[in-house]
Amino acid sequence: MGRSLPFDYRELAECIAAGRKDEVVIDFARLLSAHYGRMVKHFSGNEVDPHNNKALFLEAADVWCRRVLAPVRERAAMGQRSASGRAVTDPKKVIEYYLTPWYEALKLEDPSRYRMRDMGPAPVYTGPEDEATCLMLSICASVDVTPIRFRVGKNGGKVARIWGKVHADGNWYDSDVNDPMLVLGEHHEFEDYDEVEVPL
Amino acid sequence: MGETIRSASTSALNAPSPRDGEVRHTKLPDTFDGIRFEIGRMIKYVQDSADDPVVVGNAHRICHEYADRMGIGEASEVDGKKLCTEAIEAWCREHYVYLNDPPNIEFIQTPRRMVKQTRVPPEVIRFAIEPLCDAMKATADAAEVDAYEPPPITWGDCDEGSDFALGHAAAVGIRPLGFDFGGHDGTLHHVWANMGGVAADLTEPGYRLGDFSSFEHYESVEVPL
Repeated sequence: MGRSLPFDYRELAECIAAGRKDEVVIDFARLLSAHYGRMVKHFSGNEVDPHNNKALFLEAADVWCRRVLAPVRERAAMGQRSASGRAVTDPKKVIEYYLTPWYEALKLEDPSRYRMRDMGPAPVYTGPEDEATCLMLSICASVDVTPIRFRVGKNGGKVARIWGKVHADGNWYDSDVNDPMLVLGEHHEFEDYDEVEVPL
Repeated sequence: MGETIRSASTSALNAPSPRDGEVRHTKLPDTFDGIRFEIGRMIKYVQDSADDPVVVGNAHRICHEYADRMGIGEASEVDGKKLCTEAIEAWCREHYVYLNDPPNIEFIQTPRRMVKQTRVPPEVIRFAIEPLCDAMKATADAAEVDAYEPPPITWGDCDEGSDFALGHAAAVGIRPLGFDFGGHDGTLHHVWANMGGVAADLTEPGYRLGDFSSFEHYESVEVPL
């Protein structure tokens, strides 16, 4: 990214401010959180309590965004299924694709009558990595997994990478969804770091 | 507390509920007037649920299925209301997931929309969460993950949980209905349903019909029906 200091995060903060007020992002964050909680409870044999479990909600946002929004070349290197759909530079378009059948079903008087149609290949996100980070943080903020921060790694006094840092259930977690090699809580190593809280 | 919330906003009470797919954005003051507006909307959504075919149909189905499970045939009107209160509370609790709103934003869905969410086919949910299912295969048996069927659920904060329960109660004629509020330090920060004089707080998984939390202050608002 090679930005010069001082790093101006205001544009990214405005992106999150807009995202967390967006009904599509809120609907998506809620669907993701509620269903991931139930799924983890199921596969843990009821060992994990999903009730208002902010760490689980954060994990859902982190995993989903990392799998869908991380740069294609990085995902391919990880052996993940490669998408072949149209390229989009707005990460919200990717969410809209995944929510389209849900919204179509809700338009019916009885959504159970909805029949899943062929949605075609998923769009491929090719936009800025910063915006993928912003969307992940917006999803977190939409279900009040807060506070949230931007964290920057610097080499030679220059910003080399930006990722998210999120507070959930008493702990701070680094979340760099642009690298599928990482998992929630991990980040790349840099000479120096800065972080700034996103006003909500 | 110097201020009360008993008088809901007239404009909020008079405005119709949003239609299917409609989203309304309203800028609210961070005062009791903002809370009064929100309560007006909550009341309106319960009132509209009493005549909404989606909520009415679901509420009657819940009560009939519950009566069948309990082996109850013809019941007196009083017993019927008690049975429906139990049935609705249990069904709503099973199908509702508590989630916070975004900070400084009140997001309220209608009971109609929430009922519809529970009817969305599992393959539609599965499509949206497929990346999570793929990731789950790293720790769970892949065949079991492939066979996993997302449950029929809806979600929301305490406002929506209360509206969800009260909308169903209104639809089968349980009366009186109201919202009970609780808070500390001069604020009211939690709400639960009051169905025929019985508390129903869906937001606490361990609670049962009649349970509610302790607060310094309480207020109640009846839903005119």
